[in-house]
Amino acid sequence: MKEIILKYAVFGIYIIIFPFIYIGLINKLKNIWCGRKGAPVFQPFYDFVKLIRKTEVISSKTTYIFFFAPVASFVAVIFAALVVPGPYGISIISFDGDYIFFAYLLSLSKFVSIAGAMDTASSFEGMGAAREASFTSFVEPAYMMLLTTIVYATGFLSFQQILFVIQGSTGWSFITGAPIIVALFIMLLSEGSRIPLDDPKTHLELTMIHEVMVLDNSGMSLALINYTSGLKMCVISSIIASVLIPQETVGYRYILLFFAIIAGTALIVGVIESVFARVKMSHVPRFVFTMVSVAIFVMAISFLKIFRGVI
Amino acid sequence: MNKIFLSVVLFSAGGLLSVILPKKISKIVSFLLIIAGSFIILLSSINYLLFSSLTGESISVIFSFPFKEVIFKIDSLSSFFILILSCGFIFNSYSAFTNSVKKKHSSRFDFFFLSIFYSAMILAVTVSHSIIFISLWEIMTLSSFALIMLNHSQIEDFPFKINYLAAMHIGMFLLLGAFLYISADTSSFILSAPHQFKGIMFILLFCGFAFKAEFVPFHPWAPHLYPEMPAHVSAAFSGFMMKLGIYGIMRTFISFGDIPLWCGYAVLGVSLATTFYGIIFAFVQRDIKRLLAYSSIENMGIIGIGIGSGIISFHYGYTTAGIFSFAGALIHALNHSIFKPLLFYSAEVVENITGTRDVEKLGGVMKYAPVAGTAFLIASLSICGIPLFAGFAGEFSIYIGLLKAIVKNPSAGNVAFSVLAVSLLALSGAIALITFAKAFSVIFLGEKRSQHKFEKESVSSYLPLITLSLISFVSGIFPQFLVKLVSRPLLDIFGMDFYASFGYISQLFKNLSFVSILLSSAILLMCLIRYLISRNKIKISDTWGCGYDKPSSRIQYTGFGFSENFSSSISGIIQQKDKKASVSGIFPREAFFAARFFDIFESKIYYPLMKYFRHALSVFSNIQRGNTQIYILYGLIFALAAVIWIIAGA
Repeated sequence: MKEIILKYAVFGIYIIIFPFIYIGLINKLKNIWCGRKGAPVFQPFYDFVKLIRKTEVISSKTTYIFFFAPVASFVAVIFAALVVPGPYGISIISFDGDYIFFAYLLSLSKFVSIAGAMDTASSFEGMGAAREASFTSFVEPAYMMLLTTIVYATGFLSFQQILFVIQGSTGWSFITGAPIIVALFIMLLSEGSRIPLDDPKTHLELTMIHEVMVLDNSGMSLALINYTSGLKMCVISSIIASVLIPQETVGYRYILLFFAIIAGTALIVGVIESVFARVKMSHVPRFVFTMVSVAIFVMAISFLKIFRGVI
Repeated sequence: MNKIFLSVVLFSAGGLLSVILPKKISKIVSFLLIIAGSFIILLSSINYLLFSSLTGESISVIFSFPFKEVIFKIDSLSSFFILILSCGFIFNSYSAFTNSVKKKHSSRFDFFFLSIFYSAMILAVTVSHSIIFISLWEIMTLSSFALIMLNHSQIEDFPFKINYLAAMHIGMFLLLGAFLYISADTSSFILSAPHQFKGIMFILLFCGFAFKAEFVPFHPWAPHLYPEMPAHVSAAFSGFMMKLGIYGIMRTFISFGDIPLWCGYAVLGVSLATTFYGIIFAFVQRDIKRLLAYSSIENMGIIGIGIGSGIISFHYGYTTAGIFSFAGALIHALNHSIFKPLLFYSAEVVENITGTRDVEKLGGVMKYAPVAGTAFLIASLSICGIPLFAGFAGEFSIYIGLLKAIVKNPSAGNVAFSVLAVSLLALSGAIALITFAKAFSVIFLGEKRSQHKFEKESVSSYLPLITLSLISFVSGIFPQFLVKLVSRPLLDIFGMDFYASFGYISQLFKNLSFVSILLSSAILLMCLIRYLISRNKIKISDTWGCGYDKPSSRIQYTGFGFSENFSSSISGIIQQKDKKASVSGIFPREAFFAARFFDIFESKIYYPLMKYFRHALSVFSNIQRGNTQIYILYGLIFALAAVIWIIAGA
């Protein structure tokens, strides 16, 4: 009983605190990289509290969609986090085909955020919504292709089981693991709207993607949106962590390794943001599409493994 | 079975009375009769699917000549489709009723043909005599054509309506050919008579039914037709008439028993093409109803994917995978007949209050029609397969069917095909998401984009909108009941093997239901909390206008602008023709931009083919002189030839 409570407590702390730390880490690293001292790692959390307490400005043109969209998106991503194996290597909710459920939860989040942006009757937000919608539309099929290939290779249908099997297999995992992680990382960048797809720190509306969608959000809704985008990245990095951690690792070592890997992905995102410029807007779909090719590559390797016993 | 006849009698009585009775009461009387008939068959089909222990109920009617004995039979599959039909009839006749009350000069034959249409569909799914089936199929086509023509207003659209008639007849002749071939083999006209599988039979039957189900490339009659029909007719077409095509394909599969593998792959391939093609063209449309027509094509494709992968799994003997696939197909068929009419009804409300179907002229309709807007939102979420709403359960089940097939049979061909199917399904899901997010937000959100005067929605449209929204929400939260509804047909397909997998399936859907209940209550709770916290901390202001004080509603993103990003990345498939005059010179003239999208099958295959036919058939125009004497001469020549032939034969 005590152990179960502990597990849920760790999971709760991870869901509540880590999205803030994740964004804080990225910002800190970017600041240090260019020679500044930078805000504290917990700064996103302080911003969250500040935003919650502020008065919210709402456009007179909006309907209830705008008011409730951030909440629906937030809850959908929270549930997506419950499906993915957390710091103990187990998911809170697990059933066969839950990774499909996960994809559709992200779709729900996308749908309501597009609707919320379009509700303001602003030309900027329409532009952002159109870009976000079309650039991320290849992510879902690529993700499904990738995960289906892994299902094929492992024989199981739920996140927890397939990731557990991947952790256990030895030679195979080194060769397939790398492309899987690359694909998931592209997904992380595109779902989190980071460089090289989108620059969260850009200051011109015409070049923004995700940021321009939330121009009219303030107060609590902006706080929720910021948290949700951090959580999305956290969730995808936790899939990466579950792929990377060896099966033998148990107990507090697993937890430590898990958090270390999530922090590591945050740092890698920070490094990428520091050294790369964003790609040209018209090249963004091409970048996202690399995820599809990587998924096909993983499928080819799985074929080799099962038929030729090469690996 | 008697209940079916009772309801058909009620329908016919309703139809007849609507013509005979004085105009004031005729509509309400026939409406009530049709509702009564629909409820009878709805309840009896639910009773049969859930509680009855009978294996099938049949009644035979003796016709003297030429049919001999005609058997009307209800089994689980027809019962399931009667459920789909009757559920649709209730709201459909209500919509027809409110429509006819609103319009002063509506024809009194509306209900007459509607009742014939309904009766023919109900009888077509129960009859097991192929010639009677064809006749009912034909009655269905003709009565639906009459329904279309009753609301005919513009002469330019006439060719599209004739197109419909022609397409349905081509399909009908293919079916007739198949049935005659089968009856020559088995020397009986009974549909489910045991007979050997022949490839040509399957192809004829599949193509014949595919015309009805709008599979690509048999679809071009649909997208032009839907926009010109009133909502209840287009909802009837998309909601349940197309499902009869699915019924036919399922019936073909069941009557053949075990059919070869290539059939499964053929169905799967055609369905994948249909899904992808339908949603891509839905994506670029600016007419709401045409968008919905293309999206119906997509959904038929999704159902077809389930059937195709089910056939493959059935062939290999993978019971669990097959059950999931067929269950997915049937559940999606049922769900689609709930949310697609809902979309059509709310689109009708939009058209009524704004006077236009053009997405680019709409905007901000939510403020005038909050109920229709919310209904459209729920239906859009359903059609995108978002969990919590109808639509997810079917797609989820099809996914699991494909995945189970992959796990069971890791041969390269099967895996490649299934992975392709899964990713195409996911891709069309993603495009459907953008399509409906765009449609919903451009129509209902923001500000209105034109000078049209919008009215408020009327209360009479609330009933179907609210009820259907509730049904799609409930069936999204409790998918295990849908599984129960489809369990009888699946039991009949798979026999005793079904029980081995049923526990697993219902458990999986129960888990899904549990998670959906949690998710929906979490969303509602958080919305409540949000409302309570920020209720008093809100300042109303204008949308941020980048420093400009008076933003115009014309600067909003249009539907075309929204879709341009994505449609340019798939420009290889979509043919776009632009017409524009750009700004030039010191005193520029008015500039404009217009884009049109062409259906490839229509412009590249059907039109050239028809041109060729017209050219080839023009040879015969020499025979057709329009001169009575010449026709009498033809008759004489024919009679003479016949006499000579008989004498020579003797």
